[in-house]
Amino acid sequence: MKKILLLCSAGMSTSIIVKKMLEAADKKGLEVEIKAMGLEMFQENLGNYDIFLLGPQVKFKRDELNKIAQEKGKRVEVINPMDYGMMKGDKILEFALNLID
Amino acid sequence: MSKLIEILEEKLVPVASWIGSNKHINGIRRAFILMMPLLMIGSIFLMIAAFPLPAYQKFMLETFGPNWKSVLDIPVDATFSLIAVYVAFLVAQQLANQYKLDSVAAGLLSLASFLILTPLTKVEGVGSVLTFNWLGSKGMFVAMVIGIFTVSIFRFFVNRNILIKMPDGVPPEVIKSFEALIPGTVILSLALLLRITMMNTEYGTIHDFIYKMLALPLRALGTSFIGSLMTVFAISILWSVGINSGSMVNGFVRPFWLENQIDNINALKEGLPLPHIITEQFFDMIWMGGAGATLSLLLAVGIFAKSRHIKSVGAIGAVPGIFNINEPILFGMPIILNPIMLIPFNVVPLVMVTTQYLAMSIGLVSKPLGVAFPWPTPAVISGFLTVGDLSGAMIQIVNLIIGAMIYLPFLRIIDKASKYEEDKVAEFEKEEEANKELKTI
Repeated sequence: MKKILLLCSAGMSTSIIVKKMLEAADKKGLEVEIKAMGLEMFQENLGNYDIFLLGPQVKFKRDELNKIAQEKGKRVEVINPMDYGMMKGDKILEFALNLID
Repeated sequence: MSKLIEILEEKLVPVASWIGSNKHINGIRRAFILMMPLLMIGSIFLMIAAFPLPAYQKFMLETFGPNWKSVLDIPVDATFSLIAVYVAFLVAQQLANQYKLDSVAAGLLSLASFLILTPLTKVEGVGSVLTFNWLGSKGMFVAMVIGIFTVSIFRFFVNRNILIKMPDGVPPEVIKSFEALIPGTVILSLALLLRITMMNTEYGTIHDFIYKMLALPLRALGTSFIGSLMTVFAISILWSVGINSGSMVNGFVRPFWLENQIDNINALKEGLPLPHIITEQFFDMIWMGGAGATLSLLLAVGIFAKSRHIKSVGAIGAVPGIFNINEPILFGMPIILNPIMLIPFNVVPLVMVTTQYLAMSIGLVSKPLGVAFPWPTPAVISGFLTVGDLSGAMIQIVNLIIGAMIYLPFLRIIDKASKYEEDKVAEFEKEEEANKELKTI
């Protein structure tokens, strides 16, 4: 099962996105695990997820986190601000799944 | 204009990135976030005791007798009046955590240092007592500084590996408890030395010294009208380039706000007039709908928007917006990195701070009681609870309308542009359709 972790500072708006993404996955009949957490949880969860997505409001952390992730062969990417704002769960899910493959 | 945004982004992202990764700032920020539940629970008890409604006060007095308040004061004292004790432990613990040191040991050492520096008072017939004088908001600043110093000294020893070594076979838990021994002894001895030194000055304690020299002036600046405008502007300008800035900026100012807040709470408990206008809740009343007070914008969208895109952003953003979460609007409209919308986004909060500050200083609106609520509390309700009467709700409604009027002209520009585009796309599709039909015929 593909595992996706969304990160932002408080995990508030990101958790709404997670809900939308899970709905989109459900529609497509995909089995995925998606969670949202605060940035400080990144390192201890590095081993547990396939891909890490940042909310656009914390994109300035991308380079720093990506460097840590790359050592484990993983990636940290920023969600497209417009998709984030319009809460396009399906698009963000697709974006995440493409990054894993 | 978009050039300006480019420059802003270039300059502000490194700043945010520095703040975001600075361990000291993060340690303090997290310590205060961890204390929030405690303060909110203390607030609930305080609200029950001191809600400024004469009829309610009379009812409680008649029902529970003249001592009803003193029982409720106990939890209030245990939270607000001991805040510096919590800060001394938590700041060191959170900071040590980030350096991967033994965080509980660091927290305890910091707390012990704080107590060494806070002298006991001898009371005839009672013995030595620790008074609340420096354990509450007045001691908070020193507690923070002690927390940082404790961890710095702790780190110094651990990094140079100056620790007591244990032979193999000793359980790790035991090793851990010995590791703090050398740095701990040094930290507490230094605290004692400082205490003795301060006793020989005119100040008597480090608390009195720091409070007069540093904490008081800093707090006066940070919680002044100008300081408030600067705080609000810093949050807006950082958000303008998409940096989640609320918690960042609040991290710097929150300790000062909290002192004001606790002063107001003490005044409320005593039934005295509230001394301060600026507390954290003053700003919670401003950020209606989130950064930029975007609830005002939602209002304008609801009444005037014509474009399908803007309308749908409004629909998506409405429910989270009521609970002060506005990323959908900030990124979806978008406001962030949008030269037109950023003008009202930065101006509206400054105007709102001004009207609210004015209204509170001339007594038209009551001052914040000092009680704390979770930030997702919806506007109008939050104003009512913050000041304890309807004037708080009224000023929020007035500010919402002012904000909507400032947002409106700018909204119309992007709404028109968006509508124009949508119409063109629709026209184009229609033509395509017509052409197709022609061909099939």
